Amino acid sequence: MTAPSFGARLTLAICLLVLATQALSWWAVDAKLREAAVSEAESRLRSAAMVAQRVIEFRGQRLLQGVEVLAADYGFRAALASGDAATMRSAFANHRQRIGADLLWVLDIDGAPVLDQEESTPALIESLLVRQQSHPRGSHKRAWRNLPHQFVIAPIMAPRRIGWVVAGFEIDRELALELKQLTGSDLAFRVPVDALDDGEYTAAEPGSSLAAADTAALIDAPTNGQSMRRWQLSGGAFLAASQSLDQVRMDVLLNEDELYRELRRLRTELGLLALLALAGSVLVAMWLARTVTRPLQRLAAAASRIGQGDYAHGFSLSGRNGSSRQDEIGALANTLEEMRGGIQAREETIAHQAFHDALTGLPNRARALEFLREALERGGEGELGPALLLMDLDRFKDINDTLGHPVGDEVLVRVATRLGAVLQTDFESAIVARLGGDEFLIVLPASDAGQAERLAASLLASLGEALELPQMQLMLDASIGIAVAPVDGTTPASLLSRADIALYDAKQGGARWQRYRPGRDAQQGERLALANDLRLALARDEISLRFQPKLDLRSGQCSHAEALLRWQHPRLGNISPELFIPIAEQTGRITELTRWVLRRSLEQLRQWQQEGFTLGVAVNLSPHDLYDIELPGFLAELLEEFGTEPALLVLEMTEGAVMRDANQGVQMLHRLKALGVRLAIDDFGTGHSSLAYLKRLPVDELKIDKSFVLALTSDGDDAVIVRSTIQLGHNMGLKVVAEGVESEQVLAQLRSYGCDHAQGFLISRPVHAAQLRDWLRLQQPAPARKAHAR
Amino acid sequence: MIRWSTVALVCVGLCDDGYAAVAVRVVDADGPVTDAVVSLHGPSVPAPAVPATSYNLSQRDLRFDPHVLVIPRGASVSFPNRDRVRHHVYSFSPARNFEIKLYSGTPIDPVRFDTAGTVELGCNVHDWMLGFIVVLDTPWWARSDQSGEASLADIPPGDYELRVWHSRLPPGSPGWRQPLTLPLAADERIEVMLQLQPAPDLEPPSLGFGS
Repeated sequence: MTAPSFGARLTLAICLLVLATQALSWWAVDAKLREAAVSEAESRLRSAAMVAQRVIEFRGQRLLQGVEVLAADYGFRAALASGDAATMRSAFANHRQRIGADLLWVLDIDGAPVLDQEESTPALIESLLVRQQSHPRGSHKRAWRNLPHQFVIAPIMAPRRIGWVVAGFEIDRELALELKQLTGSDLAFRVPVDALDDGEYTAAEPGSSLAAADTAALIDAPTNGQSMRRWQLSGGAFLAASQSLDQVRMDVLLNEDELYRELRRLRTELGLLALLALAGSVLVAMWLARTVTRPLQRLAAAASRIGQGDYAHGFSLSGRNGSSRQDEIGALANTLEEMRGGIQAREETIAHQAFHDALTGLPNRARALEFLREALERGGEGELGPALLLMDLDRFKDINDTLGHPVGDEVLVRVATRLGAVLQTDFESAIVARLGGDEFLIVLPASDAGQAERLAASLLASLGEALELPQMQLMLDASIGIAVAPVDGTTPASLLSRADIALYDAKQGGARWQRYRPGRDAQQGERLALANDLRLALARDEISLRFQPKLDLRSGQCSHAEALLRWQHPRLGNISPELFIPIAEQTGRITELTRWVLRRSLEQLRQWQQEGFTLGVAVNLSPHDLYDIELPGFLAELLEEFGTEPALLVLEMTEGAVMRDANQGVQMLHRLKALGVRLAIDDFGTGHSSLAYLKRLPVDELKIDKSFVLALTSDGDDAVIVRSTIQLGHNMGLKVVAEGVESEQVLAQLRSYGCDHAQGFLISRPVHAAQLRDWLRLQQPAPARKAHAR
Repeated sequence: MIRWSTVALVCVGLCDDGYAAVAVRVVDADGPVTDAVVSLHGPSVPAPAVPATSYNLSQRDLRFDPHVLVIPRGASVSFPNRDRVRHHVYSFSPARNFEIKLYSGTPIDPVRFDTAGTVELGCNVHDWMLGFIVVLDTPWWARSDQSGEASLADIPPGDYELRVWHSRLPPGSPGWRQPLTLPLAADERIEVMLQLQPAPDLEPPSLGFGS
């Protein structure tokens, strides 16, 4: 059940109030009207009674005068004095007719009838004469034959009173009707029961202006009291007031219907007015409720919009003149508007923080993924999907480590600026985001692979110029992995993952950018599993060393054994170093691995020496190891620990590793060189380093990459490269080692080139230390071993 | 009926010459009553002497003058009108029923009263006028004086009826009557108590024209 709205309740309340007021005033006015009607009725009844009484008394006086004239008539008196009954009777009838009396009695001085006239009642006569004494010229209202009569009495004077003339006049319907015309009220005259005469006569219809039936009903009506009362008669309801006229009861009656007709009319008008007022007040109440609730509804709607996160629309409640409202609701609206503004500003800040990188001001990962998702949705049907360029700076960790985070941050900001500049110039629809660390993601909303690669080239070119920092100039390099939808993925996650793989491949392959190659993600998954397993591999003794001998072509002796890592995975079996070394490098485990290899190698070297073999050991360094500034110290301690002659240890590293950060690399090489160990450039020929540059390096050996050596005898170009490299190395005072020697022809050719050392399957595969020992015994006669054993 | 109540009889003296005298005192509730007519009646009472000339009962200032005229039976009464207006004198009394229609001056014929009794006189023109003629068939009568006393002398002893009448007795009243035997005891006096009506208003109303 929902509560009624405020507006509805307000309307209802006002209506009820008005209704109550109306009802109250209607009731009050009605009561007043009724009171007025009653008072009017009383007044009318009173005045009607008074008029009627006056008229009757006036009639009495008129009758009395008639009777007095009769009583004083000399002839009449003479006739009376004559004592002649016939004369008296005739004179009597004559006069009775003359005054129009219903009854005419002549009484002697004692009240006895003089003639045997119509029956008179002694009691009536006596009572009349008694009353006559107190009302000498009055008229007396008495019952005669149970009908109300008006009696007048005149004395007969001759000259002193000798008797009475009594005349009676019925108070009849005729009189009542006449009075009704005068007074507007009905009148009834009746004789109360206690005034009835001896009962010889039954009750007859009293004199009344009412209908016969009503008149008859009046006979039994109560007679006591004078106050107004209500009688229900067949002619309707009557308000009646009664008054005693001597012994006759006069009832004055007002027909209630007639009386209240005006009242009813007033009441109807009043009711109509009340209804009108009610209707009007309902309208006013509804209008009022609307003026109150409409702005509230608007406020509620506005608040609801704010709640749903729509802050864009400001609002204000306009007053009547167009300016904003000044009342409480206006204040509420203003407050809400301020709140909206505040929330909007804060949310924009938060949203910016949520979607932007604090350092560079670039969109962050979330924003970039959002943008990518939008782009994917937009480009769902088109040929061109969004393209992702995932970039990271090479060796950024080293910048942070060596130059400090402030510099690293500065670098990131500069890079962000340059990337942004590129996009602004050529790829306005693209965005660049910082995912974290030195990782940047560029999203091209609609692109093909070519465009993405052009962009990659532009971006990398922009980083080509040296970065002018307050302390130094810094050369930056970066790698980019590219993934293009929908070919390389249709979801932000898959695209990002594949761009990541491509980036990895770019770094691995030495390319500056790399488009994702189909199928790589499966390998990548494997890599991740391996990275996890690698953590435990050392502890579980799954990793071991193999040694591949290096043959001194001049002496025919094995001069060194290169230590090579083997990982015997419990589930996957033998795992190639080419697979897990990069994983170790990426997961930061390479340092630990390198140190383990160094320790094991020197340990093995000491064992060989104890067994009387004369040879050195070669250990590969990862490019990362060149940034391990603690490595020289560690190595010195290790040499000390095993009492190893430093010159027996050869550290091999690719030229790319050194070239990645020339300064740092060279510096590290010098520190290592200072320990007395020998340094070798591994896989020489695959990099881009110049020989001039190589000359500055404190290296002792070059190892020609086996790709040149394998086809030495069949490929003229390779032969030229190998021979000139050997000559070059020798010219620079370096020993030259050829790897990948797998045939006698190659070996012979190398000998003819003057190559110093050879390594390869022809000589020996990488083998266990024990196997190598056997191999060495075959190669080195025991005396020689002994000589070396010392 | 008007009831009579006799209160007391007091003293009638007997004179030395063999004739008796009667003294009567007439009172009512207010005290002594003046102008009561006290008379003695009986078979032995001689007829009164009738004078040759008639009595006069004039009308003066719209009144009868005198108010009460006592005459012997058989006497005549003239009704001279001393007023400038006419009068219509009448009587419906059984003792003498007559009328003298509108006249002025003295009517030619006096009215003779042959029946003893009280005659009430009225004027048909002026209702307030009231007069009485008391027709007596006895020579022995007297009017009470201011002290209410009336005396009769030289009455032979014997049985009589003492009658007292006054104009303020109720209409038709025969008057106070009581048998009386003379002579009375030496100091016996008779006191008569009458119940009288208030004096009638005999003043003419102010008519607005000169009389």
